Amino acid sequence: MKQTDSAATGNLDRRQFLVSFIIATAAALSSRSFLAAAEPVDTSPASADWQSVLETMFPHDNVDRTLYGVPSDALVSAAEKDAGTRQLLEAGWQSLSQAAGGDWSSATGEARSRAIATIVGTPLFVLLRQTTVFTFYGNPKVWEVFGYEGDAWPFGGYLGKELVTVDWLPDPPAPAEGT
Amino acid sequence: MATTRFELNDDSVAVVIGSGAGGGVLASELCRLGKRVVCLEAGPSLTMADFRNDEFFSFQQLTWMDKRSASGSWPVARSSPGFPAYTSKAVGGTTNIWGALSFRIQPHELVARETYGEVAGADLVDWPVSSDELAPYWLQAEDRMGVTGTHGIPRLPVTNNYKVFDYGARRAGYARVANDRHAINSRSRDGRSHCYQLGFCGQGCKFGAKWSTLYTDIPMAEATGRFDLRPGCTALRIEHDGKGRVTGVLYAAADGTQHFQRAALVAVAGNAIETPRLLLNSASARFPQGLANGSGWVGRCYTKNLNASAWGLFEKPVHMNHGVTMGGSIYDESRYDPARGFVGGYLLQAVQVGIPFLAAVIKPDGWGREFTRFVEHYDHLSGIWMNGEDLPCVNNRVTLHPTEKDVHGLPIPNIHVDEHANDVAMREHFYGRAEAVLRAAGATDVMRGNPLPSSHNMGTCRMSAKPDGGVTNAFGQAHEIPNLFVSDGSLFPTSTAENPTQTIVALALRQAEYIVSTLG
Ligand SMILES: Cc1cc2nc3c(=O)[nH]c(=O)nc-3n(C[C@H](O)[C@H](O)[C@H](O)COP(=O)(O)OP(=O)(O)OC[C@H]3O[C@@H](n4cnc5c(N)ncnc54)[C@H](O)[C@@H]3O)c2cc1C
Ligand code: SF4
Repeated sequence: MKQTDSAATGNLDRRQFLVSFIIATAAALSSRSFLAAAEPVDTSPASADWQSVLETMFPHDNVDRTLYGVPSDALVSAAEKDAGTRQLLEAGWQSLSQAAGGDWSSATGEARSRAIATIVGTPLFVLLRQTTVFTFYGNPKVWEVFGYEGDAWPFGGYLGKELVTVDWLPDPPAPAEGT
Repeated sequence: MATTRFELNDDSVAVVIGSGAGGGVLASELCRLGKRVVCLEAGPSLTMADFRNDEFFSFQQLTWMDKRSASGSWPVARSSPGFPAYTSKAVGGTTNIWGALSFRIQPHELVARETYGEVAGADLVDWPVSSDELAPYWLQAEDRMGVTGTHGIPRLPVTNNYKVFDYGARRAGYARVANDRHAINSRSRDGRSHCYQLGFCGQGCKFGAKWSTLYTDIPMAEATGRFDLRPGCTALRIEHDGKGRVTGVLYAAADGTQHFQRAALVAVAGNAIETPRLLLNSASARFPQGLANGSGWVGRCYTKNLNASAWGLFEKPVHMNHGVTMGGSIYDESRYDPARGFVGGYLLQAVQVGIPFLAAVIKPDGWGREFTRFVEHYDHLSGIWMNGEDLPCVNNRVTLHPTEKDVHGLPIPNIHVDEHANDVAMREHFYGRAEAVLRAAGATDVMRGNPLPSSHNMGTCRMSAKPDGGVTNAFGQAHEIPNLFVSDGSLFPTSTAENPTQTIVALALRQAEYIVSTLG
């Protein structure tokens, strides 16, 4: 099999890949149940709107806010490209705003959290979560903040390097035979 | 690489379907013993250089993604209905991505019916093969796979994650705790490198230190000049003649063209979901319920080892990702002790994953501070995995989906599992004990990980002493069709507390010997 660099690796194609990923995910989720009740709306949520939803769902104080922009931009691009995704996201935005008391942007943090709690397990939740997992938790810039080094191949693995950095516990006893 | 090609109409060859633990070993052993083998492998042929230390990339590269569906009360049917099992599709099969912990089954587990007695709602049986009969093949398997702690092979060095695990285990009262039984080279052996502790065993080992048929049994088979490996070739149907003997396999090549390979015998090792599916999809006028399924057992009593995980959050840094994926095991809970509220047992195993997998699958509905506080303290986490015996139940089964079809127009498999009360009780016990271990090591908080799509699949073509009790005899030979064999975890009558692969390999070695001595 020939793997090109389009998948989870970065560079030019990565953005394109993310957008396709979101559209495909939205399509898979929509075919399960959701779209029927979606009403057309005039104002589509902007990237900043989704960003504040994602910051409520996955709050991290130490992360550069622009890193949340990657998933939220990708959501907006996917909605622009694909009617099904747009419908899912617009309807979702409406229901979230309602659940937050009518207007998401003026809602308190607590009201926003309560609103998120109402969508757990829905196609919207799954789409937002999967997008975040893939583009935010899959982002090496985020890993750096949380202490995950990722690829160990460039430095040849941890053997003889930082294999055991836990110095706050004693070494295990010599193992018994036959265990 | 030496390529041997056999003619499609050569009816003297053995066709092995699948090149993973079961198929790869059976094929190379048959070749060594002088048989000529065609191996059909649905997945591509990769090399160590193709592997990457990148969880999402590797997942796309190595996973069996063909459509499957799930039903029943088990948690995975809700959390992951379109992806109920985690297996690999590539030459080498799931041994590309396995964690390489390798065990013998405890003697009492092979006589589960006798030991546990009648358990209502379960279909417990004893294995038709004893511990003494398996012992020489386990011994061979351990040598072949290079299992640490056997054959004088030293253990791997302790990792951060194992250090925390071992300390917590002993403080929680456990005595049988060890970082042993890895089919991973602690020193160079068998022409393969020692482990460099990359920590990406689940993404394909770039050093070849971890045993995988991709770079052990497959090249061994090729070196005999009697091995014709066909990657990208999916078996669609096994055909038979008027006497009820199989005659060959219809398969689709990578370019979509279909071919029929004639065969003297066929061995199916597609992992315990695809194996029964292929037998069911091969139904004919003579075998209307599917091949080898006169007794109705094909696909039934699907077991998968109970899995779950627990993640401790520590004040001090752990860096669990520094080194092998599976660190070692606590053996104490694998005993038979119904006083705990369940029969059967389980192993607790030190485990690590990277942030992508942690965020994606450990808590599929996770959100908010409850969730993010664990992820953002990634370097302060330590994980424990459960591998437990789930009970065989006749209605937990792989069936053909009534409407959904794959790209070849064949029905996809549905996996139905209703959990037995024993399974639920054992998992709860694990969560409690894993939390105790983590807290004993100093964890200030513990997150329970959901059961994941099953990576150990078993039971769907169970071996049985009598023809009406299962699909094959004790050598994996179909009761109904003497030149049809099953050569993977499908054969397991019960799932046991131990991870299955070393026993899959042992059974394949034993089967090869049986084939050559009985069929010539
Ligand atoms: C993440 C992970 C970690 C694991 N860790 C451990 C561990 O630590 N210890 C342990 O004992 N086990 C472990 N396992 C399980 C282990 O990988 C399996 O038990 C073992 O690989 C099963 O061998 P198999 O031959 O039955 O199937 P596989 O190894 O899955 O091989 C089956 C092959 O058949 C091919 N195939 C399927 N259908 C067809 C068809 N119709 N035509 C052609 N080819 C087909 C597939 O593409 C595949 O390559 C782990 C599994 C996973 C996923
Ligand atoms: S930790 Fe060892 S076995 Fe695992 S991928 Fe790295 S070198 Fe291979």
